Amino acid sequence: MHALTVTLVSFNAEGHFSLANGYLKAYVQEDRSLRHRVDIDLVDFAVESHDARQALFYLSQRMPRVLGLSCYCWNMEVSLELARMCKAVAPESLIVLGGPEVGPIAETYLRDNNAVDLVVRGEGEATFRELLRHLAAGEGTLEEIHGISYRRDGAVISTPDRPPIADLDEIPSPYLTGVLAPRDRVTYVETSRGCPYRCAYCYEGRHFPGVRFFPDSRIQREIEAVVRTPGVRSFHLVDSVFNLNKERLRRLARLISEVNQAGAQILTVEILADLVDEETTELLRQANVASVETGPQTVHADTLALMRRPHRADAFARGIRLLRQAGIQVLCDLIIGLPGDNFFRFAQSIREVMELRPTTLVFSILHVLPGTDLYEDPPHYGLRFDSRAPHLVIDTDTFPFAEIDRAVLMSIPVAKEYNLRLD
Amino acid sequence: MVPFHEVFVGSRCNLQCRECAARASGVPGRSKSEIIAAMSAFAEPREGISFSGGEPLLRTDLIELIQAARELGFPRIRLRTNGTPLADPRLLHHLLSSGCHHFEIKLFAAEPRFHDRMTGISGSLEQTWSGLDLLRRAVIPGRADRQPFVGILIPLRGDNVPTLPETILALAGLRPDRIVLSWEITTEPLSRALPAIRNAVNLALLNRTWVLTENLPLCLMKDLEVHVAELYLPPRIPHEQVAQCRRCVYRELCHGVPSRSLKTRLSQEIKPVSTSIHLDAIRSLVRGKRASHEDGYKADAEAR
Repeated sequence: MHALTVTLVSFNAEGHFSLANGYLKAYVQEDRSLRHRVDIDLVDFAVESHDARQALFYLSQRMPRVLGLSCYCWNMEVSLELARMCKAVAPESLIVLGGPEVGPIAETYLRDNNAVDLVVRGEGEATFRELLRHLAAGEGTLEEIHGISYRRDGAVISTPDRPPIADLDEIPSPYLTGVLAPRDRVTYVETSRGCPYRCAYCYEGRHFPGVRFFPDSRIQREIEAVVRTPGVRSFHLVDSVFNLNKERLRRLARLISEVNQAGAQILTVEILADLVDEETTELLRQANVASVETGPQTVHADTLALMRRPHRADAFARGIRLLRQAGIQVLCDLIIGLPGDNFFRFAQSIREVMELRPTTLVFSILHVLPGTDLYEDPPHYGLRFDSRAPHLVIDTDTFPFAEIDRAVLMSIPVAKEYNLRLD
Repeated sequence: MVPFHEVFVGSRCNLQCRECAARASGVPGRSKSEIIAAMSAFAEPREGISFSGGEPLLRTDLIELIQAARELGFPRIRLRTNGTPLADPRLLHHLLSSGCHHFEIKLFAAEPRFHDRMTGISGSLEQTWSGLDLLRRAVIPGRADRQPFVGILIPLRGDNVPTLPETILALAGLRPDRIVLSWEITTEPLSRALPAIRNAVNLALLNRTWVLTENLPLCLMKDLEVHVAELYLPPRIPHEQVAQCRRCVYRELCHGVPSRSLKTRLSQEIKPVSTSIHLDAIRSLVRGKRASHEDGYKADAEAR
């Protein structure tokens, strides 16, 4: 019997590769019933430098029975293009989309794109494994698989939602199973999922409320595997608020320092600067964290309140100062186009954050992402945005389009002028 | 918006621009030790240092001054230049290697008959343009993913105002990081020049280049307030308010007009603004800004 051929494709931002597809393969591989029935191939393309035709050329070497596309706002256009071309040359292939861009609006994507056969909604590992059991081993029916939307006889059908995996230890590590090979600067180690906050512009907190942690021992083993890989001198952590819980931070700092004798640097970890104190910076140094990324997204209390983002200006400023003094690089993020802001308020945010002297300023225009509060209820926020990915804000009641456009144009040289600094 | 402390390195120049304030200052040069003393006088934290003249690149010790600035802890070093010496690729490489990664190039027009007439030197535009072209294609040695910051300063001096659209369009091909339109002493009525300035701002935006105006008070920049440079950084030259400013809603937020323009038409053209939908936001933006950056201006003034 031939194995079911599956190719999972991800168009990534330059210099990154897909952890999501690695998880899917590791989770499926662990299922004994599927081990010899499914042959999964992972392939990463760079969204800036590769196009759909290159991806199709790769696929044409071995046209898979199932093509899975990992979908984010930044790669939707090229992913759909590949889906269309693949369907044209291999109509029998099943084209499956997953990821935060498509999950919340699965039915819309199915209705608008004939080439797409099925969408996995929400956390994908368990759902995708069930789907492959159905396809490769004939188990159950599509209707019985929770967390999918698909087309049947011209109609779009959605099965009930699937709750997130309660115990993250169920998910095998892509690194420890050899599914992904760590590489310097582009390796991500996920330490938790979910977020305790519910910022209106963010998908994570709304769909994965509460935080689930990977076990400490698992994190330790993953990091050990990463830093022992020849040539790997740095990696990233995926954690919505790494410093949320001081006791956990103490544990992680200790266990990371135990296995990271070679001194590989942690390049990016998201933190809340408001929660940083002297002990936090000491723990981050112990964990060999070279740089952290934090908000505030805007400095205006009323806008932050509308976005439900926690922020205490004095504590934030103190946190940035402590991090800087500890020699930890700080990236501060500001969003252009938040409801409640306008051009001059955005400029004020730049000025105030610049006065804190972070290492790097990062500006991004508001992306109104599917599944977020902003996406679900734009009139409440006085917001208009592009319905197509990447869903850029067009204007708000307080921030006209011409001002948003000017703010974007201003932010580019400001970021370059500020971030270009001598080490 | 990024603060730079200005350091005057002397008025020696290879161009002979009319109405050059540096040449009029009669300070041909400053010694290296004087300049280092001026840099040392700036209070910490030190953000950026900007060398201006004259033409700073005529100094044979400029690289040493850049190294001194690095040693003093300035993380950003800028050169304000007419760009002609940058046409020498070895010099440009030397500058970038030494740590000078921010540039502001002065350009009057993209047509020789205007630019060269205003600089008093035939062929100067060609050299400036060659320098600009090299600079835009340069990468920072050892950091291949990074290019130097290239700002363009266009001094508006009457003659070149009608050429602004062509200048902006010509610059679009070079994709500078920012353009500053600087109103300088001129007998031209601003009211006549404003349509060209507005047109230039819009052309730059259409070509996706950020543009600021300098030395033009808020009252004259209706609907273009976001482009007024003095909202983000203190003016580079002394400004004063005039009698009309007392009746303007921006009186606490606007610096007025350049002091040297007090006797020109510009001060007569000031029209107080009675209402502004931007007033609160501008007030909030400007609050606290002056105190944070003016210390450096004073320190350099004292050093000089």
